Amino acid sequence: MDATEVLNRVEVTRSAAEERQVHGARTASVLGVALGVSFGICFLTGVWSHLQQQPPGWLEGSLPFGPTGLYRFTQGLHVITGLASIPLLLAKLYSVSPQLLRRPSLSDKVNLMERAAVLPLVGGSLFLLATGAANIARWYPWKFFFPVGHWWAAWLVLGATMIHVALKAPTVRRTLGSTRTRTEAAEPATAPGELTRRGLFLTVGTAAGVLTLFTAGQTVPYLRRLTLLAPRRPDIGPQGLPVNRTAAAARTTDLAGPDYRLTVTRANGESRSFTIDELRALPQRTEEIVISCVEGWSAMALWTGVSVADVLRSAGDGGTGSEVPGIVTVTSAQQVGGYRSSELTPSAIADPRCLLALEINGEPLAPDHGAPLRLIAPNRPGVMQTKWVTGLEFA
Amino acid sequence: MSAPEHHERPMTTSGPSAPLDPHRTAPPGLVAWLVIGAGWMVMMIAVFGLFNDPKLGSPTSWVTWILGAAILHDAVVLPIVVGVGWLLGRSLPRPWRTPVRAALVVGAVVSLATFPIARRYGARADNPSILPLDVARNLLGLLAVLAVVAIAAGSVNMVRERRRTQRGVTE
Repeated sequence: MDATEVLNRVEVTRSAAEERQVHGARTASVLGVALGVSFGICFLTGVWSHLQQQPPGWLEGSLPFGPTGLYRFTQGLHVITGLASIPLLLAKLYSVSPQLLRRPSLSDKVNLMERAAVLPLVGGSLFLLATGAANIARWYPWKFFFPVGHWWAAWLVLGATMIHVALKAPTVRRTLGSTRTRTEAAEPATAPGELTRRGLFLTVGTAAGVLTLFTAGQTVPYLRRLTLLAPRRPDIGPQGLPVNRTAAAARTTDLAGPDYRLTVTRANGESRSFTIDELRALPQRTEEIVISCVEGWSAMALWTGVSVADVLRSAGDGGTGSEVPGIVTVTSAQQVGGYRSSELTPSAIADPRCLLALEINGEPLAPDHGAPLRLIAPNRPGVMQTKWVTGLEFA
Repeated sequence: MSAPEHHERPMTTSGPSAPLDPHRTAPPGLVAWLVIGAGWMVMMIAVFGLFNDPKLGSPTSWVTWILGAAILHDAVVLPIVVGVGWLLGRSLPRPWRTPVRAALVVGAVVSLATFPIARRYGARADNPSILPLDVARNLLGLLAVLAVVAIAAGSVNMVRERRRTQRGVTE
């Protein structure tokens, strides 16, 4: 059997597969639209999370503060949708797999360009879901920094998707449009026992449903009892709340001693220090605030402490005539690792629920939760709820 | 051997009158070309942004993982899926094909998505709140439930088919 005959046989098998319902244009269109929606949700919630953590200069301070649980909702949705996209993407790639073996025609320049854009589309999409699934399990078997790699891959996939959608929109319109405009030939019949299109959709839907049902409980309270496959459970951890970095890892185990001071530093270098007793003498507030991790889990707790605004007011305006002149940086005693400080915008500080907490659920903070003092504020990524707070600095 | 008729498809698609090849992309119009141009620009910005991001660490690792993901899927995962599906089609009696295939797909995809959690690669000795659940056990339980459902569905299919053939014989 010579090479030409092998190629011919591959082409015969390939085009026979293309005739099957599961590999049809209608199957690919339905899965493509579904993926467009799920990846769209992941992209928007991902950009929102990125802006919270690293606002560009022109936007800094003007981001809307939003309702208390907004970040919990957007980031929970990001991870839930990402997990449910895994069966969707694999099914989509399976449905179009006969196209992979189609011989490229060198004279068809549009087709060559389309194929060039499919590589970043497929590689990038698989990359996003694989790195996301590993990140929620806190497993990093690669050498790049996950948030940065995930962020730029999302833009790569966005660009590749734009090209793909521009080229495939007529196909989707033709196969999914109203019956009047639908010009496709009659449904191909399926052999007995062969997976139909409906069968494939049911299988994919079941896989996505199972993944959602058994992992979403890490952020959706009603599904708590079904948290069987999730990387976290919101009630497991010190004082019934999960933590990402322990005091041992941050080397802050002994921070809550008699020598502890919170120092408020003005832009002109003037500073004022507070002991724990002085902080306790300020008006105490108790607020129910959810802590929402970028990895998709969230947990509600009752926090008691002083509002940042009260601390700043008590530290005085340093003769500047204004109490909150701009962004305030919250610094930590944490010795190792990233996210050692975070920034508070004027609108965040203006909210009285923006607390420097001393207690959780009526007990003094455990070292792992940032003892003796941590930041806790509504609608904020968990990595920005700075623990072991030792300083507030004006920009 | 003579090539089947549908191999003689024209390489270009006609207008709105029924295109012969539903997978072949139609030539883009002006709006589509604008979106395509913007798409390539967004991709270039992504690559430029990536290589100029001081916090990335290793760009080589990033490129390897993107290309590796595509190659691993197309050259390893896809042939295995197609091969196993084909083998099941040949070896299983007809009533069992759909239930077994569907259960295998659901089980494999859920396992693939949650194996980093089940294997607890990211566990840390100082922090028991990370990966606190016995996900491996729960996953095995789920696979067992899927097996039971597949056996039940296959049995129902088998009984139905037997009745159908019996009825066909008596008529």
